[in-house]
Amino acid sequence: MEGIIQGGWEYVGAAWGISLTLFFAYGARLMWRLHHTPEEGR
Amino acid sequence: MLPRPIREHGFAAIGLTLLAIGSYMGLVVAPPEKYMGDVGRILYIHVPTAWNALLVLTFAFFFAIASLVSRKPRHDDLLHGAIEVGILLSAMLLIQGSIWARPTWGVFWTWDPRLTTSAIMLVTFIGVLGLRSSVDDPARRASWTAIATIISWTNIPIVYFSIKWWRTLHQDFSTPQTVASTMVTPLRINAFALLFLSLWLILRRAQLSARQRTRAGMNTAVPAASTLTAGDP
Repeated sequence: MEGIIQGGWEYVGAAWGISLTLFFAYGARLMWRLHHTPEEGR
Repeated sequence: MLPRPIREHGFAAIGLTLLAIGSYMGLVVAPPEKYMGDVGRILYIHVPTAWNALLVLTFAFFFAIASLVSRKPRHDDLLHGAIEVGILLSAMLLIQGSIWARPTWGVFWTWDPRLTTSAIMLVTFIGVLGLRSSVDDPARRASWTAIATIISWTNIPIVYFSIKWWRTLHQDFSTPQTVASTMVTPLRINAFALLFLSLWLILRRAQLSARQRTRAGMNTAVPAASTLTAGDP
């Protein structure tokens, strides 16, 4: 079944792409900051 | 005890695995939605993001109470992590919702009760972080963050029940009663994926705060604000 709205993969790609990019960018930046903030004595 | 890499990154490994499975099911295996067609696949990330945004900000509420009661830096660290991750999820939620609304409602944004209360949720918690960053005194910073979090959290039940309390364009609660059985599994898998990943991010953010505090020589229980200057000349 195609649904009433035809196509729309550009919206699907934008929604998934933008949100997962934001999520993993935050995670990557956090890991970078952790890596550059060593524990006491290390 | 588990080895350190598993303790620190186990949640991330589980979350990433579940996200890969859930995304494949939502984008490839699940059929197009009856009315929305393929655009309905946005809901496989949007609904889990919504559940986790509300859940993580509720974690923040409990960390805020724990921080106020115990005054332990660990609870303040976890509170900070939960607020940041909650803001991240709320921003993702509004972006996904706006992109989904364009082909289905014809507009990116409308001042619908669910959308408006969700936007308030994002703005108020950004305000909490702003307030936090404006306070230098660790004791006051922990107290003010916790109190502002509790006040901001009172909007969360309003966000959740807004579709019942007011006339709204937004869809009803996504439950097995309102969602087709073929669509329930990817929703659940992605919900648990984002939950594990969010918990991992909260713990890592708390770990970063703890390291920053230790290096700044403040790794003790947060004292009452009035005692901070007691030893000053």
